[in-house]
Order: sequence, then structure tokens, then C-alpha cells
Amino acid sequence: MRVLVVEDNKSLARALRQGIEEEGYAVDCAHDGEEADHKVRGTDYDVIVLDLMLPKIDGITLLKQWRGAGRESCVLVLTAKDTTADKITGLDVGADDYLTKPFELDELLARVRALVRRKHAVKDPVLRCHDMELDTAARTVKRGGRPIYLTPREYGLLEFLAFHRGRVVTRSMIWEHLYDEHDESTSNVVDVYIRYLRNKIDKGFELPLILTRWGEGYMLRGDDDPGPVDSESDE
Amino acid sequence: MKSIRLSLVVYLILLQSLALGASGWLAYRTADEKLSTEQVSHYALLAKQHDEKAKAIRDRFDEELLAIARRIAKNAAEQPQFRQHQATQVIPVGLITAGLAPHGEVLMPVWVASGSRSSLHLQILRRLVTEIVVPEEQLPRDVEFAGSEFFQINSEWASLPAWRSRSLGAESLPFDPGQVSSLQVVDWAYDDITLPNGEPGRRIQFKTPVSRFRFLRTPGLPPVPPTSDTAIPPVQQPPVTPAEGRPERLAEMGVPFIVIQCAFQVDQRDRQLDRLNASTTSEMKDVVIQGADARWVLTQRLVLIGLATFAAITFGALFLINHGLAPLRRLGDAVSQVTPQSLRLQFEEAELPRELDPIVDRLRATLEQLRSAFEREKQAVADISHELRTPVTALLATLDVTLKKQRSAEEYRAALVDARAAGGHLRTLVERLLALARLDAGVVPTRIEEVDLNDAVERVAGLIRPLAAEKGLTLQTHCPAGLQWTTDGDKFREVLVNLLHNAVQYNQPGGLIDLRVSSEAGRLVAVIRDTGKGIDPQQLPHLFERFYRADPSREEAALHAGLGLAIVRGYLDLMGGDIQVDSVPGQGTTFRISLPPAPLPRREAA
Repeated sequence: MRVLVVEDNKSLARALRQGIEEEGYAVDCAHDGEEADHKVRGTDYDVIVLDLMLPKIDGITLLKQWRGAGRESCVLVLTAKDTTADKITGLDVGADDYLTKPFELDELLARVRALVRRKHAVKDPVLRCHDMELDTAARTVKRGGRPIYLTPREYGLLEFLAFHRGRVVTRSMIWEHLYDEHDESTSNVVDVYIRYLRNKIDKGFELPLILTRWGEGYMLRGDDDPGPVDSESDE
Repeated sequence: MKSIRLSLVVYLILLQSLALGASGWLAYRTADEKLSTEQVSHYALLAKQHDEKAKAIRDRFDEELLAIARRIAKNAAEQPQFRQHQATQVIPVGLITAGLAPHGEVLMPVWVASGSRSSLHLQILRRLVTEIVVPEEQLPRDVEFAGSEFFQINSEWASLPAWRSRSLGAESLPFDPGQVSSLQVVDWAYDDITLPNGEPGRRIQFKTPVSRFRFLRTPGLPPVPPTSDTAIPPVQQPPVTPAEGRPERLAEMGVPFIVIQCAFQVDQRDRQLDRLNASTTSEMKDVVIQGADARWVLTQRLVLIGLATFAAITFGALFLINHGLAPLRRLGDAVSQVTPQSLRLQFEEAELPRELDPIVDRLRATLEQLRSAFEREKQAVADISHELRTPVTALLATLDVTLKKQRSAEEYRAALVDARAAGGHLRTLVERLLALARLDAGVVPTRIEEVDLNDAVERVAGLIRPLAAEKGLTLQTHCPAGLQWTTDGDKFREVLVNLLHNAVQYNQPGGLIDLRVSSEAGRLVAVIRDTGKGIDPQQLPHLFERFYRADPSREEAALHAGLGLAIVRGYLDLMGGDIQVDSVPGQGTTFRISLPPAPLPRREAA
């Protein structure tokens, strides 16, 4: 999942970035309205954490512009403005959630997770795929009742696949959603992580869950996908 | 606490009581006087009527007396008695003529004389007449009153004994010839006497000539008065003046007179008078009683009318007072509904009378001031909390993220650096807020000293230059060498730092910042010029308000927070200086501050 933090207070932005990154999300930062607008135009963010009082272009104006342009990203407004009128204004111009400063980091992270679920039209925080369970809240994975330990990046990849379960996601999509702007790696790294994941998820199980679509990308096995006959390992 | 209603009611009742009392008293007095006058005239009328009636009774009585006296006189005057033996003694020839004379005993000379016309026979008559007798049966006497009516005839010539009616018995009526002599020829007089039987009585003395001699009855005699009472001349008045001629002569001629006295008991008349008196007295009493009744009724009515008026006016006044006080009550209600949440007077303008306009206007103005003060305060609190929240949030978020898991020493260090920065912002903000609060409270301590301005400018420039360089700006400073000024050096530098910060903040890349300090006309002048984007002229008046930012978005949040210029203004006010701002949008802004020299504290002066 890729998150944009728009916050002009640099130390807060840094803290937010670190906090959200450690949840396994790829985080970009913007310190003023123009920068935020520029980044939103270039990238399809899953969640945008938006301060309202920004230099150059204020948050409300940005939000209106984005909604007007058909941007589907979930927007969490994070601001010191705490009056009811401010909240109503923020929500009415298209924010999905509203959190006032100062806030608890855990609450912010929970809201970000909720927004990710909303983005993918999922209600249950536990994503299921055959005998695998992915708890997005605890960020744990079990297969056949046995816990599987994943690195944050591996977990992010699996979660992304799980949210798009039954659909093919391209390498660039994965790359875009899992790597932030500062990451120097290319989309080839996706293949590497897919391999790592397969080692942890599919190894020792009869039914492979991570499928490869040649020339397209990868997908997590859907309920009605055929058995392992047509699936091909990347190896 | 005085009650308008109560005092109005009390004053009204007092006033009313006075007015009603006064008018009631006047009305009573007027009516009383009228009643008294009426009573007096009624009294007078009654008295007059009484007098007239009493007089009529007396007059009728007197008339009766007179009529009787007259009748007696008529008889008596023709019946003088001559005693035979005397006549014989005087005139011996009487015997001779005795057989011839019609009267037997009457002597010749008398007879002769009766035919004579001279005064001589009158002399004779006077000499010879022995007695005048009135036969008792001829007396006009009521059988009923026998014993209470007395008659007596006295002759003028004293030698003649008085004839007395039988009722007199041995008594006689007192007779004073002198009293009678003043009377005219035919005349009468009344008087009240005590009768021989001891009862009070009324007497008439009727003087009449002995009129036996026909020739004496001349037309010159006064006519017999009519019996009607009105024509009777009063007793004391002199009788009708005798006509010229005969009556005069009658006296001269020596015509003999007799005085007929009729004295009647007056008990019956007095009883009549008593009855009259009694009836008059009772009528007068009635008048008194009627007067008292009328006064009583009048008093009652006045009291009744007074009470009714009093009640009516009191109730009316209460209503009016309530009515008059209603706007005040409405205003009070409206005022009592004013709360810090809604500082408005809730009523229609038209509901209140003009008299309350000054109060209402003042109230509205005050409430409006309060409201804007509250607004400003609310805004200030919101702004302050907003400004404080961001660095607090940054601090907390940094710490929260760091504490989430085990970190390397390097990571901890980075987090601490971030936390320190956030703490620094917080401190700056808190210090600024504190500075403003102290300015508001007027407890900012000043430290006046001799300031080397070159040094001050250099120190400020040393602070700002790195910031300017970071943005690619050039900072130029100009200050005459050796310029000294007596002022609070810390605050002066704080002012310069704030203004230069702004100049850096709102400058354009590659821009210029120019600081010139000089001394002009006894004042220290510092001009800070930048080549920034300038300030909209509409925003200039608000520039020094707290939390005001020409640019609603912000760059370095905690550093400015819209408080810098407010503090600059506060410090300059404190030091007696002023600040002017001149800005051309797109070209730059120039702040010009000027400071008078501050008086050195006594310690240094000494």
C-alpha cells in the first residue's frame, strides 16, 4: 500500500513517515500544497494523510481539486482544527476520515488500515484465501493454522495480493504500491520478493496460492481458480 | 433597592389623598356655607312670619279693644249724668223747670245750655255733670269672659268720679291724667297692665269728647278708623293731625273729654301667642334638624364619592404603572436571556418606547463589544491551541514511533534530534505567548542600558544571515560607527530579529534584505527593506494583530505563528516607539521603526 503524508511540519512528517512505513506501507512525504498536488497527480496513492493548513495551497482546496479530478485515494484529514464546523467542512469536501492533532499514533495507524480496507471494498480485517488467513490488524499470516513469519515488505506484498485476490496485478502496480519515491530499486525486485513469499507461503503445501500470469503479473488464487494444473512456478 | 412601582404607588396615594381631601373639604365648606345661609334665611323668614303672626294676633286683640272702646265711647259720650241736688244748689231755678224738662232731674240751665252754642254752656256742663254712667248691659261683654274684662271711664275733669264696671268691684284701673292729656281729641293708647284680678291684661285708653251736643259733632272730627287692623295707627304715634279749625277750637272751647278704659285679660291671646311660639320653635328646630341631616347626607356622599374616586384612581394608576413598566420588564427579560453564548437582546425594536433607546443602544453596543471580545478571545484560544498542537503532535508522534520497537543508537539519536527541534518550536511559541501575555498584563520588565548599535546589529545579523543564506538571500546592514543609544537592548534586538525573520520568510529567491540603523532628529530609526512579494494593502491594517498572517497558508509554522509582529508592536509601544509599514505587492515591504531615547535608570545616571 502506498501512502502520501502531506504535512508542513517536517519533524511530524518524518515521524509519520517512519510510523506508517513500519506498518509495511510505502510512504511519500509532501511539505506544501504544490508538492502534494504534484505527487498525487503522478501516483495512485491508496491513502493520503492530509494536513489542512499548508503553505501555498491549503488542504481543503487540494481535496476539492483531487475529488473534482476523480482521484479515488482515501483521504485522512489530520489537522489541529478541531471544531465541528471544520470537521464537517473537511468531510463534506471529500475526506474519508478526520483526525485532530494531537493524536495517538496507534489510532492513526488503525484508521489508515481501515481506509485501506475501504479502498479495496473489504470489511473483514481478516483476509482469507483457501487455507491461508491474513490478519491485517495484527499483521499476521497463518496457513493451515500454522503461523508464517514474514518481513514487513513480504507482508506488504502478500497483503497487496490479498486485497486484489482473484485479479492479476502487474509488476509495476506492485512496485508502485510497495515502494516509495526514494526507493532506487526497479520492478525486478518484485520478482525477488515473490520468490521469497512463495518459499514461505506455498512451500510444503499442495495448493500454491501465488500464481504467475506470464506477461501480465501475479495473482493470489481466487475461490474459483482452477487447481495447480495450469499454474506455473516461476522457477 | 427602591421599587419604582412601590414609590409611584405611595406617591400617588399621597397625592390623591391630598387632592381628594382638599377638594372634599372645599366641597363640604361650600355646601355648608350654602346650607348655613339657607338656614339663616329660613330662620329669618320663620322669625318674620312669626313676628307678623304675633303682631296680627296682638293687633286683632287691640282692634277688638278699640272697637269696644269706640262703642262704649259712643254711648258714654251721650250719657253724662247730672246730679239733681248739686244742680239745685248751684242754680235754684232748676226746681222751677223741673216739670218742663224732658229729663226730669236735669236742671233748666242744663237744658238751656244744651241748646246753646256758646262756650258758656260747656262751662256749665263741666260744672254740672256729676257722673258719666254706662249701663252695664250696654257693655259689649262676652258671657264667657265675664270677670276678665274690665271697663272704666274717667273724666278729664278730676272732680268727676270714675265710672267702673261691675267686674271691677271695689278695684279700679290706674289712671294717670297726664298720660292722657298728650292724646289728641279723639285718640287712644294701649298699654299692658296688671288687672285687678292679678292677671296680666291689655288696656286701651280711649279719649273722646263728651259729644252730647250735637253741634260739636262737626265734620272736623277725625273719621272713625275702619276696623281693619292695617289702618290702625300705632299706639305711640301721634294721632292724625287735626284739621285746621274746629278740632283746635274744640280744645280751646273747653270741650270736656272722657277717657274710656277697657282692660281685657290677655290669657287667651297669650295662649294663642304661645301656640304660635311653640309652632315657630318647632319649625326652627326642624330647620336645625334638616340642616344637620343635610350635612350628614352631604358628608356621607362626599366620603362615598371620595372613596370611589380613590379606588378608581388607585386601580387605574396601578394599571398605568404596570403598563408603563412593561417595557422595562421586557427589557429585563431580554437582558436576562443574554448569555455568554448568545450576546444578543431578544426583542423587536418596535416593542420598546423611545425613552429606553439610550439604554438599549448602550446595551447593544456593550454586548457587541463583549461579543467581539469573546470572539477575539475564542479565536485567540483556537489559534493558540492550534499553534501549540502541531509541535506537540510532532513531538509525541516522533517519540511514539521511536518507542514502537527496539532501535539502533543512530535511530534513537535522530528521534531525539527531531524531538529536540519540536521542543524548541514549542519553547519559542510558549515564550512568544508569554511575552504577549506579559505585555497584556503590563508586567514586562525592561532593562535600559547604553546600547552599542553596531554591536546589536551585528549580533542580529549573525542570527539571521544563516537563515538568509539557506534561502539564497543577501542581508545588508548599515550602521554609523560608534552610534550609541539608550534603550532596552534585548527588546530592540528582538524587534529587529522578528522583522528580519519576516523579511527572510516572505522574500523571493535571490532577494535582498537591507537593514539601516541611523539617528534622525533625536530618534533612533531602523529601516528594514526586503524584496519579497509584498503585502496586500487591504491586509496592512491587520498586520499587527495576533495570529494574523498575510498568507493564510504557512511556511515555518512554529517560528511565526502570526505573533511576531504583534510582539514587535507591543515592545515598541512599551518603549515609546512606533512602526510604519509600506509595501508594494510584488516588489517588497519596508518596515520603519523609530525609537526615542529611553531615560537611563537612576542607578546608571548616578
